[in-house]
Amino acid sequence: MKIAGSVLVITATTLLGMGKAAELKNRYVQMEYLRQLFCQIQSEIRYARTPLGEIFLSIGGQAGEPYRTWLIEMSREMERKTGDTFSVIWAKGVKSCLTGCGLPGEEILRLAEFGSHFGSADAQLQIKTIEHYLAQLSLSMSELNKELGTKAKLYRCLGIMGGMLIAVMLL
Amino acid sequence: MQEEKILSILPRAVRMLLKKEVFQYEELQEIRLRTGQPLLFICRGEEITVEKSRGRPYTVTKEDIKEMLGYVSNYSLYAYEEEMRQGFITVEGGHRVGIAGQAIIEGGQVKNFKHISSVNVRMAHEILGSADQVFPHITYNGQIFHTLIVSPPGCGKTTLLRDVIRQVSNGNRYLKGRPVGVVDERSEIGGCYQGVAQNHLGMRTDILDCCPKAEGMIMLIRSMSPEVIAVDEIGAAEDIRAIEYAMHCGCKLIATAHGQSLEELKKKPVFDRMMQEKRFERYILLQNRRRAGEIEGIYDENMAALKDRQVLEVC
Repeated sequence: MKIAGSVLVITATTLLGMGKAAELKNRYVQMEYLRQLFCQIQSEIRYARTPLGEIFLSIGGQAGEPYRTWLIEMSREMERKTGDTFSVIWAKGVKSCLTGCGLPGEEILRLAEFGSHFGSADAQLQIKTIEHYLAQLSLSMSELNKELGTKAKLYRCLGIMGGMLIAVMLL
Repeated sequence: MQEEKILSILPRAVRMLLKKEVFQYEELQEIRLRTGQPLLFICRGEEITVEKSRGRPYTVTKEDIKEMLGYVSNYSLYAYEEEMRQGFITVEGGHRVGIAGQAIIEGGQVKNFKHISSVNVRMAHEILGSADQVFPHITYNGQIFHTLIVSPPGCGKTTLLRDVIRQVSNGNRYLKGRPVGVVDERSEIGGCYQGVAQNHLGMRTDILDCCPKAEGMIMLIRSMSPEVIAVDEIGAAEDIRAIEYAMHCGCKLIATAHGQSLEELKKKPVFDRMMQEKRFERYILLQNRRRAGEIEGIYDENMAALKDRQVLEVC
């Protein structure tokens, strides 16, 4: 009975550790996906000068969830013309659709802030704004990537070792 | 539908006010918004104000103009840099939104605008059948003549051109339908939305939207083999060169140009040469003395009148 309980405890903590490691990896995957989306937005602006509503609709149509809902919803909200400025529509979209998708909290905040510099002025400024955001995103990704290997290993080890410790204490 | 398109580009506060008003959108010609001034609607040449409260007219605010520019540009002013440079943006339905404010100059040329204080929405009108009266004079033996429609702004040139295109494309009792190529530099003829014409331009019409006229005409000849090419508001030297090229290629040309009269048109060097060379075989002169779309006269290549003044319901 004790052995069975110990096995269950160790399994549970191991899974917990593996879950945390997977969450960390997912964070990186989501940031990479976001980077690809912004590259597509940038090229639409650079080469076709496409308005944002159209860009969101076309890129959103091919994107995976939750980015699909985020982009398509933003495009629809822009069509509704409710009196909100673009930065408000953008920030609302980011907070309602992307919170909890795996992106780190500081990335969500930075993304929400990004909308206030977007939409107006000339195309060159739009491209530069995206480039600046992409540079910040890449920096965050490389920092995360550095930690990813060691932290994932740490979470997994902590899961197993923690489980074993509890099991020993219980026995 | 027309009402929705017009309302969708107006600031929210104005939209709310207009919902309470009984408004004939078909008769609407212009909407004028000037910061700090009353909102004005021009219907059949008459100015109409909208009451806000206790008989006081609604006064346009800076925020209204900013909000409206967001709607007009789909929150993407960068996508309309070229149009902004010319002073207007064409919105869905072909309506023209003119802007005025502080010009940003670069290299001696207007690059863009800032502190925009005035917005003028000019309504595009589609009147099917408005060209019925001109067809007997611009066709012969099932062929259409090279035709130039001349009028001052706001007299219905584009409305007439649009219906001529539709009828040439679909065919009527004067000629059978033939492929028409339209170069719609300012999206006013077709009122394209995401590349699809919102106005009726006929079943055999290919449209090059937002494309410079001169380049577009040559592209159309090479790619779509049109028998008739239609362009709006010609005037630049390169437009004339492209028109001559198209005529040499065997295409028939239907175009419009700004001008009070044929005499005034002759004073412009590019048109004078074309008129002397008799490039255009028919000239339709429009006026708006009594109402927009009044035909002043139709003339042949020798400037001889073919038709006297009469009222054509264009606008």
